Amino acid sequence: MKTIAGILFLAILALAGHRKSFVKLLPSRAGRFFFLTGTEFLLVGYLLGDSFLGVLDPATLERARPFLIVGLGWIGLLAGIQLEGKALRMFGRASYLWILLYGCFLLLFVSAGLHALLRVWFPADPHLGLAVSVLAVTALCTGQTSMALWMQQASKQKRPLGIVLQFVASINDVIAIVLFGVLIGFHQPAGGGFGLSLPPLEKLAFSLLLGTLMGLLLLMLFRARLGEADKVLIVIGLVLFGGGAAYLLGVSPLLIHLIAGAVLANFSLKSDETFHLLMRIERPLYLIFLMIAGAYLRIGAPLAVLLALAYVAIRALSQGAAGAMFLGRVFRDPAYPRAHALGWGLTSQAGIGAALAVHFHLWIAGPSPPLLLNMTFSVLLLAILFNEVLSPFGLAYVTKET
Amino acid sequence: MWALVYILNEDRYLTEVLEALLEIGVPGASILDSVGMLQFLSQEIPIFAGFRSILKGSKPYNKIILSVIRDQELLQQALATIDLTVGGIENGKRGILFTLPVEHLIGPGPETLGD
Amino acid sequence: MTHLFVLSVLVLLQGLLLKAFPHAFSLTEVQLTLNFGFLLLAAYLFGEWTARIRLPRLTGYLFAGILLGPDVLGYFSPESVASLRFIDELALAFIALSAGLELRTQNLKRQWRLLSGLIVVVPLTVFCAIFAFLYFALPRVGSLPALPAAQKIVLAALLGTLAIARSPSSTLAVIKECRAAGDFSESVLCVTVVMDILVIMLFSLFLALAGAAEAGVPAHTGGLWLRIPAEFFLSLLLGLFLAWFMSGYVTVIRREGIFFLLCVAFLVTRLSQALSEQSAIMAGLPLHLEPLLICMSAGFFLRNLFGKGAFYETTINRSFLPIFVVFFALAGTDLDLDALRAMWKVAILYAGIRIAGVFIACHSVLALLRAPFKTRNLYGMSFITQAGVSIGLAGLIPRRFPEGGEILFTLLLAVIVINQIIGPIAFKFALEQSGEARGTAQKLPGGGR
Repeated sequence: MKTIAGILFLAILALAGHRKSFVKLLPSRAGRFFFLTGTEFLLVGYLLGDSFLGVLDPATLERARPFLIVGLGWIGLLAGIQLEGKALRMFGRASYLWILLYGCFLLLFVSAGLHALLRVWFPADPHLGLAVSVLAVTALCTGQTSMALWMQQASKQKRPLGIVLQFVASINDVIAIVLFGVLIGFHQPAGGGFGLSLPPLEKLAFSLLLGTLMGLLLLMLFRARLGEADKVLIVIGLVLFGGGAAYLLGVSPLLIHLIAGAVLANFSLKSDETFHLLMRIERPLYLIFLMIAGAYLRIGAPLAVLLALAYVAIRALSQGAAGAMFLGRVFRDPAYPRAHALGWGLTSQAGIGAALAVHFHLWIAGPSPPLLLNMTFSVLLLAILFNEVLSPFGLAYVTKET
Repeated sequence: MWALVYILNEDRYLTEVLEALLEIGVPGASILDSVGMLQFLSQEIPIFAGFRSILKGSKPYNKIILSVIRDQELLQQALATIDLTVGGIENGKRGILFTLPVEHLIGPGPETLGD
Repeated sequence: MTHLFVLSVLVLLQGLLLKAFPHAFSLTEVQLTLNFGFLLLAAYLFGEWTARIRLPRLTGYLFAGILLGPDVLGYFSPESVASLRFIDELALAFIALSAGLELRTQNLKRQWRLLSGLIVVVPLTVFCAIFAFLYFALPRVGSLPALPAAQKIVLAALLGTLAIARSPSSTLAVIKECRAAGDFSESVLCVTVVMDILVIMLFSLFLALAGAAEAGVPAHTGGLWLRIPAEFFLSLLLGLFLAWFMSGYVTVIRREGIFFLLCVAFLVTRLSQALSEQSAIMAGLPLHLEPLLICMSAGFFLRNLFGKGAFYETTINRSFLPIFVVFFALAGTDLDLDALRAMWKVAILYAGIRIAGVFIACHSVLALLRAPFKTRNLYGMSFITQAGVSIGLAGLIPRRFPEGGEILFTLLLAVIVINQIIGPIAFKFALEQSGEARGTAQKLPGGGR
């Protein structure tokens, strides 16, 4: 009874909250740096969790796992549907190359920095490589909520800059999802006792196969003229099925549904309708994810806070440097006088970052994670919070008049 | 003769409304895309699918259903039908419905409008 | 064609996964995602296919449940079916609410003579027919031990009562699928619903009598005569309160209707359980509050007293499909084919007598009202369905009568299989003949064509 009450309470909070959040907090000039981007629900979750109020106790969180698996599939589908070839071609081929280089540089720098740092405290930990790679991959994620909110208040001439930022952020998010899917291939899921014991590459092939198959099934079912209720049923059914299959096989539901969504977007005329259907619960779903992630959070030692701060600093510096090196080149255009500073505008780590955090907890860390993996999770969540506070300042720097 | 104008907020009801109108004998209607004032001014805030929102804008458009109806009784029936189909326009905040008297109609007549 | 192809791909995939990880299917995570999704899609696709051959979709959902269930292909073990049981509770509340919303006082008033005639005559005829049949046939059924006369009477009465039960959910599903509206469909639904309530009340009465007969003491039913009406009115009162609360929600909040309905359905089922337990502890009097009745009266009051029916009707119509599909597919997994195999001869006879009773009753009532011959047949065809409540109540019989109860239970299950398969098909045919079904290529609400 308590479990169900807890889950209901969570849903009510999310439904009520999504109408109040996603706004600029204070109308004054000084207040323009403070937004409610939903990320504050991480704190709400932390308060509801076992550390404080105990509404979301471990039993409740355990029961929520199926919901989270489905949620991941839903998010993956949403992220995949935007990858329409026609839309992707609107940006030049060169810009993808530069964004890719930016991503590689970021990955390299962040992993080098974190490896050096974590080795000091966990010199011989078997999970060191995993922790570093998880944090490096999630460093690619870039939240777009604060970006969009900032651009709303910026002058009209700055809007194109916002579009470029969102474009870079979206591509990096997709890369992060794919890399995380690969990463999961290297690790046996936390539940144990199931999952294919295949080499990572074959596991990846399995993800591709399953994703394409899901996409094709969706495509075939959507060929008929369908009513609203039928569409909802088909999407729910496939996300449930695909998510469950992914859990069973030990592959990433985010990746599988990303592929399925991309297939649908490129071969069906109805991807728009599907997209709107998925969008309808995007915000409440996101808030529930944030709250559950917050409830999982066990800060434990002050070390986590320190490491999170270090992670934020390393990520921001790498972003600044990589942005100046690669993003500045491709968007060198009189319209964007400060293109070399673009990297500083990508600080926010929410959105897909939070989804990957939950994914990490479900698939790799497990309910009682080893010390370093728990630390990794805490560092990631704290970094998401810190980055959200920092992000408006970065954006202000990027959009400043020259 | 009356013009019936229904600005529907959620296009997922569109098919059902049109089918219901057809069933009670409204012979035709035109459907237009439209954008509300606040919708136009506010930008969508993306979370997971930012790419889509920068290219297309992820908010669906409103639909305007426009029809000319000759007979008062049918008009009343149409109003009631629409209200029922969307589950109460006022209750569900599902748009605005209004009618206007039509003085002149030049063209093929209400029977074929929108076809 | 597409549907069957996708269906076979899914069945293949699920089969492979089942074979590769047989143990993982006991995990809740897998049962609530993979299994749930698979059942939903498979049943839906099967239903679409049956619609193409002009049978009701719900027949397809049922067949999908039968095929995938423990009896045939074995894709769903009894325990994985059990993990989805929570859908049943929600679905029943939704169905009851929806049935209540369909009943409009002005229409009921107009048809009161027909309705009251059917409500009195159909149950009486069916009860008498089945009672007589069983009283004389019981000694010949299977390997039933010889029973004392009193117990024989009680058992025949219990089974006779169960024969009155219809299936409001199937009736409603077919009405919604055909998007039927009019006097005929509304009166059928009303009679179906009332008869179901009647069955629940009568059955507990007979069960108490049976207990007394078994113990050989004079029936001590003084409390019962008071208790059953008390439960009835208390449920109605709670329904009124619920309707008031729900209409307030529409006025004040208006949003997230589906989520609110899910909460309400969940709370009503849980609270009525808790209240029953509490009353048993506190007053020693186990008040059994029927969530079905509470929700139904709430729907009725919402429509006729508070005028907020449209909001909830639309909300339910939009969210019905997935719940409906899983509900009937689960009902399909419950249908006991072994029972049918074991007792098909008696079962067919039993079902035949029940149907004959229904037809005789409908003909006599409608003849009195001077309805045309065709209409009389249509009503007869509409009251064949049987499920849900009957299975639940039938399950009490073997518990109460360990000797011979099992055999009767099996017989009942076999009869329910027959009725549940014939019933919706006959009712859909009747609706189409009555001219109240709108469009021929129907869909469940919210569906396109």
